[in-house]
Amino acid sequence: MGILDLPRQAEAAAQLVKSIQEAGGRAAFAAADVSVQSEVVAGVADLVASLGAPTGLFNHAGTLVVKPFLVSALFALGERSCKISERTTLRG
Amino acid sequence: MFAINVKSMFLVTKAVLPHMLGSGRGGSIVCTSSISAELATAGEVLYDATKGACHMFARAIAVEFRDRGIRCNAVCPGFINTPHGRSEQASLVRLGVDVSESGIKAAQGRWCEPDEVAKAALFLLSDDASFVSGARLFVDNCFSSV
Repeated sequence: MGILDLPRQAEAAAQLVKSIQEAGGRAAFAAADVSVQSEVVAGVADLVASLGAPTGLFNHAGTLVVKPFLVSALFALGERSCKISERTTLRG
Repeated sequence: MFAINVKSMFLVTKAVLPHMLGSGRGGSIVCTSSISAELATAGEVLYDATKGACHMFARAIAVEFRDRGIRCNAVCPGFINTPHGRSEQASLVRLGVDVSESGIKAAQGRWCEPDEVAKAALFLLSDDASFVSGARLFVDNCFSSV
C-alpha cells in the first residue's frame, strides 16, 4: 500500500507502513500535498517505483468548514485550519 | 476547500490511472464523498458543493473508463464518530442546526464508526465489487433514505 500525505504526517505514516510490513504486506509513504500537481506526480512516481503499478486508489483527502454562506470564502487559505486529512492511498 | 476536496481527486486520479491502464490489470478507484452531496445543510454550502462534485467526478470517471478495466465509485458517509465529526457537530449546533445527539439519533440511529466506512470502501476496492461501478454507496444507516 502506498500512502500520499502531507510531510507533517510522516511519523504517523511511518508507523502505519511498519505495521503493514510486520503483517507481511508491502507499504511505502510519499510526502505530498495532494492539491499540488507537481507534488502528486512526484509522489505517485516514487510509490510506483517502490511498489509497482497500483490496482486500487482511495481518494480520501477532505476538509470541512461550517460557516454561513455570506461570510464564507471560496479559496481562503484560512479554510485549511479545519483540514482533516489529505491522505490518499494506493493499493498495489 | 475545492482544492482539497475536489482538485486532489482530479490530480491523484490523473497521475495514477496511466499506471493502472498500463499494467493490464485494471483498477478500482474509490472517492470519499458524503451524504452532503445530496442532502444540504445550512452553513455547509461550500462543503456540500464540493461533495456534489466528488459524486459526479466518480461517476464520470466510471463511465469514461468502463471498457478499459477501471471501476470508480463514491462512498458517502453520514456523521462519523471522529474528532472531525464531533467538531462539525459542535459547529453546526452553534449555527442553530439541529444535529444534537437526539437529532443524530433520529437521522441515522447512532454515530457511524470509522471502521464502518473503511469496510465499505474496501468492498468497493475489492474484486467482490467487480461489477459495481459508477455507484454511490451510502454509509449512513438510512439517513439519506427517509
